[in-house]
Amino acid sequence: MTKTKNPAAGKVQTKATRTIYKRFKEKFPDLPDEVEEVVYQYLPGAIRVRIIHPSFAGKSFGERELLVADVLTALGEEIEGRITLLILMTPEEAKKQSRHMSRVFDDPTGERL
Amino acid sequence: MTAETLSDWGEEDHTEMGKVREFHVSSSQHHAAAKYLLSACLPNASSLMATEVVYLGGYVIECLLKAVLFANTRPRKHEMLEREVKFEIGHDLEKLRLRLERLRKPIRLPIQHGRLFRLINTQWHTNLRYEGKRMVTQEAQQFMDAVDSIVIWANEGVR
Repeated sequence: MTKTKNPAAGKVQTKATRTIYKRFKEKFPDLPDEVEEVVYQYLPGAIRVRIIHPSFAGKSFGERELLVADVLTALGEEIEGRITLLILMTPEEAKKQSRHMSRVFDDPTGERL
Repeated sequence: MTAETLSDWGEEDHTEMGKVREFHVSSSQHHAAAKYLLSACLPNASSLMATEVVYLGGYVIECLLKAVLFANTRPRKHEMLEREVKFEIGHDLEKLRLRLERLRKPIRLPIQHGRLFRLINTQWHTNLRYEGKRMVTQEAQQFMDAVDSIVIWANEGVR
């Protein structure tokens, strides 16, 4: 594969993203069946994850990360280190269209302006 | 080519280091402003000021990583890199991080700093200025702790 300075951004599924999906699905069985709703490779070496779950309600960002720390640890440093965006939100937060990061997740080709 | 630390170019007038200086000074200014605002945030409170802390804090990292990128790119390529940064990378921290990893001598964040980068990248975006969201002081503090760690890593030397 040719190594370019700026590979195109998109929603790509890889072995790593499928592993991430499997691990999170085990912890949160009601996650969507569509993998790209939960995880995709944005760029080589940059994986984005979005978990929408009611258990995050009333918790800070740090507390939400603690809730999924076991999953991240189980992934191993190589895969975990490639996760560059980890959106942990409640269903109510996800409904708010103003949540910019959720829009960024849905449209990886969009501008982050 | 060895990786340049941000302290290597000091206060001397290195014309070829203009972009390094520019981004590093911007990063330092945003850092000082964010810390000042954070010191004025009330504990256990939500405020627009805490959101401003995060808003500025993100630019600290954006400017810092751009300074690192220029510091580790040959000066004769700076003009081309400047166009790339302006038109292709923009405010996208993930693209910026990937670009550092694709240098002739790759610069990779250590795993712990990678986690802090993720925290910053997930909470920061330039649209924060429009959302009117009130953030909690502790979250802004945690965000700035992450920013501080990455600033130290970059200033101590990218190796």
